[in-house]
Amino acid sequence: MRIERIKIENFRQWQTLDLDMSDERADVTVFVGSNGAGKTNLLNSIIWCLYNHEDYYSRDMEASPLVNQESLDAAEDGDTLVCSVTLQLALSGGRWAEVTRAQEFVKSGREGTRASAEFKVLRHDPAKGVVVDANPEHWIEKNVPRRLEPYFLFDGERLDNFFRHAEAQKVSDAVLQIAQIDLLGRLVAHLEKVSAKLYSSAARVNGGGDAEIKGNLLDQYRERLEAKQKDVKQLRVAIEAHDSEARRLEAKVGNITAVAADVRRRQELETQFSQVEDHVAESWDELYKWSISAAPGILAYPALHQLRTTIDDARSQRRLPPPVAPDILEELLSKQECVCGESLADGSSARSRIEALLSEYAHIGQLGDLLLGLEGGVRETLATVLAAAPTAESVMKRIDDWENRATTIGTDLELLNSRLSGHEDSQVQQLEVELSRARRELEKARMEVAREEIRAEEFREKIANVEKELAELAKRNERLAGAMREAEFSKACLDAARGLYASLTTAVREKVESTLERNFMEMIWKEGFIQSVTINESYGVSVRNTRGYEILPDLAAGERECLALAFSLALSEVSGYELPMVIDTPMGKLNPDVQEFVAGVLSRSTAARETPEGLEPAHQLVLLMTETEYNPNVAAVLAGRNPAVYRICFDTQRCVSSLEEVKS
Amino acid sequence: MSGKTILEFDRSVVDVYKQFGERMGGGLTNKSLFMIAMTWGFANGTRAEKVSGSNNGPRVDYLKEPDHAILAAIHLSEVKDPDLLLDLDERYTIAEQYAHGGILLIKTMMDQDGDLARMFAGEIKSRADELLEESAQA
Repeated sequence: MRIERIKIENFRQWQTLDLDMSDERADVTVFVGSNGAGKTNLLNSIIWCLYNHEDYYSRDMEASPLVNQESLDAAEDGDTLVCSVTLQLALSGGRWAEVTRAQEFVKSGREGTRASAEFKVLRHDPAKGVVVDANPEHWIEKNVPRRLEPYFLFDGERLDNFFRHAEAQKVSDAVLQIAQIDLLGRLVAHLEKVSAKLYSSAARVNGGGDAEIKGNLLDQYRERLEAKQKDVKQLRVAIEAHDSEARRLEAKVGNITAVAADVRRRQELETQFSQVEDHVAESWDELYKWSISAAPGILAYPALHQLRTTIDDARSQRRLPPPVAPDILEELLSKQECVCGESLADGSSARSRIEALLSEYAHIGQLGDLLLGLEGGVRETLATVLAAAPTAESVMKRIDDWENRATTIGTDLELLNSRLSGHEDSQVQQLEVELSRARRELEKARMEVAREEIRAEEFREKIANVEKELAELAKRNERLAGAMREAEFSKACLDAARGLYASLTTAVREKVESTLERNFMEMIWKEGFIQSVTINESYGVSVRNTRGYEILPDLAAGERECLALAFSLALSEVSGYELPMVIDTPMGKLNPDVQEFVAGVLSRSTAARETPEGLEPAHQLVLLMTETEYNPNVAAVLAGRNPAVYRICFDTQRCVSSLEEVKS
Repeated sequence: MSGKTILEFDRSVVDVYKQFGERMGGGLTNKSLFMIAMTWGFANGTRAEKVSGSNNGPRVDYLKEPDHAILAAIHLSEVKDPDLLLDLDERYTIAEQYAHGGILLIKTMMDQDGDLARMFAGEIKSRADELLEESAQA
């Protein structure tokens, strides 16, 4: 099957598009556009047309209308607008079909209210001509089954999640659905019920007695088994809901664990930055205080030095302390007579000389006292000044250290801020709490399922024992034996169906396993690193390195995406359907050198090839890529398939996307 | 002896002292402000001719030994003769005149852009480094 034409009217930012993909290059089509240009909505338009839902949308889109906003704005109140997507599909044997889904909107204010909807399939059969299919939903289920959607219409970036949350149940569901073995599973479940009823009726055929008691027991056990099975079913629905919620939350902020770690790191750094700033401020404060207390001594240092010299000189000249106490002269003046007998009477020249001498002594004494009084302060201040300089040096060094630390933290913060731009801490924290809750619930539900399955198994064993006991009783009771034959026949049918189910499951699982391993080995760039990729009986996927160690949990995001892509390709091969593969951002998480490998794998695995049954035609491959993904190396690899390449142009004024062919 | 009980700020710069104190982080006493202004004026050779009394400034009896030593050192540096150090009135006048000269210089610094406290601390540290270097060479 190939998509030969896509026609879009008013689907989100695709106001009009009519793309003919029927030429010889239809094998591979590449749409190149930056983020937000309209790649995902092109994928969504196909999914919506076929299945009436959109898989890959953001929360923002949930709030925005399906109908093109530009058209809606241009319409008058009460006008009807049609949002429609038509896919023209080429089928085998020269047949074709045209699938159209349309939804009318009536403009009311700024909104468009949904009105009537239409879904139709026009199909062409060389023998019958063109007919409108009476049951378009059935036609879709028959030709493009909904269960296959995740394996041919998908977002490459989200493939990463498949094996990040690798769980046997998902792998099992995928394998069983794709090979339609799940239908056989339902048949087995039905036969179990029929067989149970027959055993129950057989036990009551005689009315009373041991057999009836056992029949009652059987009914009890079966009721309890059915209750357990119902519980398991409900728990599985809950698991799916918790898992889907966890994935939605993760998708909302990219890898939420990494973002939350960044948010925590940013908070730590902000706290550290604030503490360091406090230290810087405290150190500057210390320097200010130092400068205020040390300034007078430092600024007056030369004068202080000079005063100390004066004091030292006075001391060396023996003027300090004053050498002679003048008390004896005071005594002579009071006696008015010198020791030599000369008169020191008032007005005598000798008295005048002594009085002058006393005055000079008084001055020297006062000055000496003053200098002595100052000496302590001078020496203390000079000593303080010389000690102050190293103190300032150490404070300055501390300031430099803290400021350097602040710069380093500031740089780290800038990096984190740019990485976290657009995220609000409180939102991320809230999401992290929600995610953690969803994961806890998921784990709890899984544990509960395991417990319930063990209990269910116990009831199965009890039922089998009672059935054996009934068979023993039947050997002694002819009527019972007749009734039991019918029940045992149904049991034999059930066992046969179970056996068939088991062998088919094993065969498909082994086929998927070998194809998955082959595809993944081709994709992986670490040559000789992977030894095996296996899917065990419980559908657990295992990837082992050449030393035999399990490395699935340690695979890088790009490697997990490759594994999921390889799994998708394997399922596609096993399904028996040749469906076009439409992949949005197939290499978004891969390194440039790995992108080249993956492009090669995609190209080879979907190309036409020789098989023992003859030439297998190519699978149509539609890639929606960013400019980074569609780099020259990837373009060179895909060139081997002669792809048609279109650039998606987004008019930011009108919010409308359009296509421009890129000529090679 | 001197009858002076207050070392007065010039009437025209009382507010400048206040602003200077605030911009240096607050909590500075009048004595600290006066000593800084006086030594700043002295170190930069700026001494006002006349100071008009404001009855605002540090009380003399709040001065401690190191403060008296600095005042006396500046006094000696001006009069050169140690015998004149006994003239306390002159010492206090010289101190007030240098304080006035100093606060006017500080006002110029306050009018410039930048963090005054950082500029001041940087200047004092730089002078302390020079003294340490000179002392090491001596």
